[in-house]
Amino acid sequence: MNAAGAEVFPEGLESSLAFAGQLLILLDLPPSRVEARLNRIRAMSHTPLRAFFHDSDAMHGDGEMLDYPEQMRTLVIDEGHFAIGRTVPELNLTGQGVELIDVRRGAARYACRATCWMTGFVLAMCWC
Amino acid sequence: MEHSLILCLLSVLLVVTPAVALCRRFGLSSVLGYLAGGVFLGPSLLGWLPANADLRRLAELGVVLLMFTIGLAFSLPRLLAAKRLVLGIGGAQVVVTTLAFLIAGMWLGLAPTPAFIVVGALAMSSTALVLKFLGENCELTAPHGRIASGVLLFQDVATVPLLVVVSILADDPARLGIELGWALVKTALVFTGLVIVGRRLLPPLLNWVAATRSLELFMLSALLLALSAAGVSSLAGLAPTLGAFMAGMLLGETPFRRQIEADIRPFRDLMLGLFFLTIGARLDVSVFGHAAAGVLLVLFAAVVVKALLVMPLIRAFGHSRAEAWRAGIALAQGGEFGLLLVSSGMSLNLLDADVAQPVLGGLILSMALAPLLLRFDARIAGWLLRDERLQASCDVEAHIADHGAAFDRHVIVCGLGRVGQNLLEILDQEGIPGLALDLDPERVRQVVAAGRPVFLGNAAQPGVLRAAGVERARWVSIYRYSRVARGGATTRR
Repeated sequence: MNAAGAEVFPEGLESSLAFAGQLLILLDLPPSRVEARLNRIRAMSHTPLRAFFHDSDAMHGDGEMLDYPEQMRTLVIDEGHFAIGRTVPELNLTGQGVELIDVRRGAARYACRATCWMTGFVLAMCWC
Repeated sequence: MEHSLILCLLSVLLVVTPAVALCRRFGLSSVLGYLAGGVFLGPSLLGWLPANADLRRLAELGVVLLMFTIGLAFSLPRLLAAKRLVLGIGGAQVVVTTLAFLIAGMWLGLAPTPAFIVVGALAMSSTALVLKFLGENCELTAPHGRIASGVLLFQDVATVPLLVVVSILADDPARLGIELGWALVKTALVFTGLVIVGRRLLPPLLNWVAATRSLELFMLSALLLALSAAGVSSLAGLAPTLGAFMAGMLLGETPFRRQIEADIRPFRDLMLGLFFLTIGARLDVSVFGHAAAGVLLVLFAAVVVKALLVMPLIRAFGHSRAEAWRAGIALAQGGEFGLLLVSSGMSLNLLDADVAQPVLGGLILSMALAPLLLRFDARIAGWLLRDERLQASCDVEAHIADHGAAFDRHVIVCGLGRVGQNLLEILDQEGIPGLALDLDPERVRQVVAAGRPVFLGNAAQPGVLRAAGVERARWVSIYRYSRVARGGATTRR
């Protein structure tokens, strides 16, 4: 299959897209724009849809984990956290299979790479 | 003369329009706007409203049309189907409240006739305020909503004989028994006459009018029917409201019911507005100073005592304590029919100003307080019952409402599973505001930390959806059986 260039993805992802597309149409968005949005996600092998916050049961091992191994988690940097004062590359998150998606503090968003972490930062991460 | 009439109408509209607009803005019934407008325009404050009888007669036409539309909506089969709620709880509420207040009134030294009017007024709650609030908050089908609307239906119908009794009391109270019997005979005669004429003549007549396809002619005919029934009743020496009610009942059985109701409604609302305006104008605001104790007593009776009397009655009919308290609190206010009884009593010189004014003041205050009590009835019931779950459900709603107030023309995503989250993400990318509700505390905590507008709350509860701004939402998305459900409020798009 790989040799043929085929891509395998859980069927739920495509139904998610269909559902979202239908809602966007109902919200009076032009069909061409909706189609373009959905195709963009398909072209990215559904990556934006693959990682999500699993429910608390799934975190302890559930069927959902098999179909969708990537999951989102948030981490709040409290006072005294070992990450304070370190930069992203210093922590080598990628090496541990964790991808940093978003860094925010209150309403402000920070660039994921060039940030030196401080108390109150909230990190949204994805890992498998 | 005409000049002064135009100026009078102008002053009425100048005061009433902003008052009603303010009420609409804060989600209050327009009844309160008219009452407040009347108080301002009345002789005790601005004095812009002429105190002639013409205006009052025109206003009473509003009550006649109100009774006509109540008759239209009144259906005997529906009444019998809900007899436990309407006849059972409703009947018990009116009888028990009336008796309890009558004993208290006599003990306070009121003469029988004024006591009867005051007590009748106190027993009534506000159909206009309560049904509007329950309807707007999707609570009409909730147990407490069904109990409250059943009781209100009974009260509406009970007003008809009460008004008849008041008009008899004005003639000769000593002959009440004979007069009441005579009135019953006349009522039966008028009703029989109306039934015969109504059944035979009305359907072909209305069919002919409908066939002309002239909306104007249909509207005129509907008005003619309502007023001629009131006229017949008045000529027979009965209250015009009674005839209007009976004519409404007869027309309620015809297929034209909805059309007639829609045609009469604008006239009714305007005239009824005028009626509430004249009642507001009757209130002497100085009563809040020199007879404050009386006003507070009436307020206490209409709000606290009435709720305390209703609650055990509802319990006795097998409802839970929470339902009984919530329905009791929903009914804890004076109403338009109470104001009507007091105003009729004043017009017929049955009530002295020193009794009528505190009653009017207390009833109007209780109606002003009602939206607050209705809004927080679950919280109050939870507090009274020490039921933390009931209270907590209100805290959840308050939290969602605080944050949800910023959302407008948004999409409410019910359930934050994989599809819900994907939907929220795509909506965000398209710049469409989305708000999600979920029941998993840990997941909600995680997603909120990521900066998403997600709230812990059960989307199956009307209060939670309301707090999430379902009235302002464009769509509600429920992903359970792979469907997008159209929210009730989307019709307002």
